[in-house]
Amino acid sequence: MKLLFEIGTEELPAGEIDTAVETLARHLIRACADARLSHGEVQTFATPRRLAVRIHDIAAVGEASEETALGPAVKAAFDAEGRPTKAAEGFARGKGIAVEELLRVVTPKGEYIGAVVREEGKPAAEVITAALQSVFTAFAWKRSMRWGWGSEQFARPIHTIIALLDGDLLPVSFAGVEAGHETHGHRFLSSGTIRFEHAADDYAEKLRAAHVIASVTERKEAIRAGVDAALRSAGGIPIVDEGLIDEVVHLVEWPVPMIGTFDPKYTEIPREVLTTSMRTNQRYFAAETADGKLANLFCFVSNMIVRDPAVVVAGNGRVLVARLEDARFFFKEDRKRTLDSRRVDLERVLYMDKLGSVADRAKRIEVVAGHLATLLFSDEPAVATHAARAAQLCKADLVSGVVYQFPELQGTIGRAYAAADGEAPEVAEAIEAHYQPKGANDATPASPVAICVSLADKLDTLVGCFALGLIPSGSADPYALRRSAIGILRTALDRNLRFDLRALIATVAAGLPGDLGSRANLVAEVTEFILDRIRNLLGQESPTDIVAAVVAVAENDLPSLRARAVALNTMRNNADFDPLAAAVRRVVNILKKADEEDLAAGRPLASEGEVSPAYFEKNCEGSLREAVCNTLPSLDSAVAALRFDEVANLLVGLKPGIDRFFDEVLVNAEDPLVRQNRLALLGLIRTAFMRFADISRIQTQGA
Amino acid sequence: MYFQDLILTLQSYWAARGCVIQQPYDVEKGAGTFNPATFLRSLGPEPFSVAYVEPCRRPADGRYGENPNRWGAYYQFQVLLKPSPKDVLELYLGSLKAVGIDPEVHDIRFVEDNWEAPSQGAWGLGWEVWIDGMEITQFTYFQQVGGIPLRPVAAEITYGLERICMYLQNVETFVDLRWNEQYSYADIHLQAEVEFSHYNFDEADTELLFKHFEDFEREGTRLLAKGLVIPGYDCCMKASHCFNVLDARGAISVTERQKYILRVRKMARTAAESHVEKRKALGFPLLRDEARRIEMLGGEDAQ
Repeated sequence: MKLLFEIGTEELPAGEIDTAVETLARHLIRACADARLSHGEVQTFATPRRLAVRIHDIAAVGEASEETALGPAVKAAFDAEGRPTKAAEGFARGKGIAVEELLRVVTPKGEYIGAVVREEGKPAAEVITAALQSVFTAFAWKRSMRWGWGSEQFARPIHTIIALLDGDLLPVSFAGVEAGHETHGHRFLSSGTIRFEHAADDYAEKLRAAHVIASVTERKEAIRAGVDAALRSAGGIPIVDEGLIDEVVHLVEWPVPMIGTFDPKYTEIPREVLTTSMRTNQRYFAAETADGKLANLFCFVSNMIVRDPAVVVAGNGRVLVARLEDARFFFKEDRKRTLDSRRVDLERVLYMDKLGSVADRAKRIEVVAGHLATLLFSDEPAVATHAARAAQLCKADLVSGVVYQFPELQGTIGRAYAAADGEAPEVAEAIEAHYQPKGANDATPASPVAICVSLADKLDTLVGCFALGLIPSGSADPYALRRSAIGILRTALDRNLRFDLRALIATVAAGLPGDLGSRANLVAEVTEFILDRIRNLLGQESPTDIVAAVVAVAENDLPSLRARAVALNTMRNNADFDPLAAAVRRVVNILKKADEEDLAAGRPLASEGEVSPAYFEKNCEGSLREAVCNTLPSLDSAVAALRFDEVANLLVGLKPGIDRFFDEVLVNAEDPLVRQNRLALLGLIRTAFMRFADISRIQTQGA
Repeated sequence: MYFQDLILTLQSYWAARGCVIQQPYDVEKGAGTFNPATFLRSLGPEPFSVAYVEPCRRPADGRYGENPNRWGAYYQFQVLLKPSPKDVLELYLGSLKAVGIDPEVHDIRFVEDNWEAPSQGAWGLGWEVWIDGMEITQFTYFQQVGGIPLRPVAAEITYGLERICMYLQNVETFVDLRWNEQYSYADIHLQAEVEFSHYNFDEADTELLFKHFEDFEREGTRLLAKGLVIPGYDCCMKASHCFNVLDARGAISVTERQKYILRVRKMARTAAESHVEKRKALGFPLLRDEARRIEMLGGEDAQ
């Protein structure tokens, strides 16, 4: 059998259509799977006014299933005389069988009574009707709405529903609309309705005849090819913009690319201003000239075949000129002053309550960026100078006219103006790049100057907000602090940066106005927040306990975390791992208790003391010390080279010595000096293992 | 088509489709939505369809009449259809045809736009309507007004009259629009636009306006507490306009701004709640479907 299902709506939000049609298909596929109803190919279709799916080769009936359901334990099911108890009778009744039909099932936990439960397959019509009826509320729209007197919600009002299983109309309805045979074609290029008698009717072809290209891929291809051809025919080299195609594809049912030109005088405006005007506001495609400059061409995708395209082109051109005129006005005004001269204007822009003005913020970023430059790039003295300058200027474009008009150009405009003012290229580049990464798919800053300013900017946001108590909770994160934290981490990982995270955060906190940065726990809270992000990030690749074990020892060596986690995962599969982890856990626990006692008594920590052969009583102590001391140098060089598999092997090599030590020796010896010496020896072992990971945190069998 | 004919045509079109044709409300406002014919009438279950032209004042948008299409005072044509009819988009497209915009000649598009008016506690979903790339109408299915979810939902259509007329007359600026055969838009409004730009940006007495804001807020709150809904709501509109002038004058800092918006919203919410209570006490007399009327009166109690 075949299914044809379509929801016909008013114009849906372009950005949500792809997700919606995917949800629709997934919902149906899952419903079929749950009902053991087999089917063939699943085709999806989507336009601004419809979401549709067609499923081929659906079985007439789902497959039957047989499962053995377990009931009470045999002990509880039969009394001393072997007669069935109430529990057994109840179970049998519940499963619809006679007591005599009950089975006995042997499980690792004992013997139970059981029953074979057979569920017959349901007819396709029943399964699919139920699935379609429930799909209307299965969409996760960003915002949904009601209309008329109705209380049902959808992204936009629904006008038609088609639900055909072969030639049968399924009884589906939503918001007062009953499923029928009809849908609409293009809003202006077709009239009346389009009728489907059978699910096998060619959906795409019938809609095509009504000027609707129902397939998203096909429409996208038509736009891609059409825009390319139109721009080339006008002498331009198209700037490929897949993101824009993805949006435009859901603004039209019948794409008709059209092309226009604008006065070349506007090309004096920075290119990004033009393309933003064209792209964001108008959804126009742009092109370059042969010498790589922006061509004075624009291409848009209309949804109409008109008698005279010149009317539509002229209308679009007029809107573009109005916007470009605005942009040119602001650009010319902006260029009457240098970017540097705008810094004073930032003093009047409040950043956040108690954190002062944006000028204050820029000064803080300058200090931290300079600090980072000396910390991370000490061999390139120019970085510090350039980072400080870029930090001074990085927010100055916020008070320019163009950014006021086009907020998304922050940074880009700063870069263009700085370059025009004759600032160093590294400085100009960093002004733009310090906002990176702008999202999960954006690249992290690459140049040393940009890295310093970017990290300083994000740290200032994070520490500042935490100081004000603006800490994200649940899904509420109005200041995008999670994104800042992830930006810091990704930059450190991508660019191989090592720094003392806590010390850095403390430096940033110390620079906050007044005593804001002195709040107890502030540094710990921010550090923990950032580390939580990396636990999440690595948690997508490795088990939680492994992530916890590596983060615990290497928060100041972020770039090594991933390699550590991978090696630890391999190490865990070693046959010797579980007993080794248990031994390390024993070491850690003994030392924890001893350290606490020493601290409470105000003594120096025995675990950090010298190991002296004078107090050895058994051979195994000396040989263990020798083994650890011999291993440490190779361990350090392997850690430095990120060869963590080698690190793991070296540590596994210590196992026999540790085992012998615990077999032959009692740490809590009566002689306190012997005891202290043994604690010091355990301290040495702990040190060695913590170079790699805190494996006492790893879950082990039988632990 | 002259500017005045555009208004006349839209009025007759919507009158023929059952709309009450009201006249502009005589208190300054930033948008037609503020008019009680939309703000209050969209609340509660009583059906109401209305159309009116609305002069809007947005002091911060004034440009001394020098910007081609951005003025501090301009007109909207506002249509409220409650409950939203099933064929509301076809009705709207019919109105475009009536004023001479033929969908077969142009590229007309409905582009997602989610409308929100924080100072009115109102939001809705809908579209910007584009004609050949230019936004000419804001179309919204109101979901909530004055903090109250709407049932039934009303459709609001807000036409940008000057922009549509620029299109029809093929001119590039407001000042070049023909009002009628004899007069241009500039003849009618330019002097006021220039003078009000000076007033809003340079001359408005901020101390006086801050005081007015406080006074209207106090008076409105007092009146609303007494159940005088519409006089109380007038005070809310007046306070809102004081805020708009102060904002244009640069007298309100970024942090204060939000606080003022919340104060206006508080009054708007109180007015909305009082209005619904009052209409309910009257038995929702304009809800003529008796079964529905009983349901809504009882249903409200059940909540």
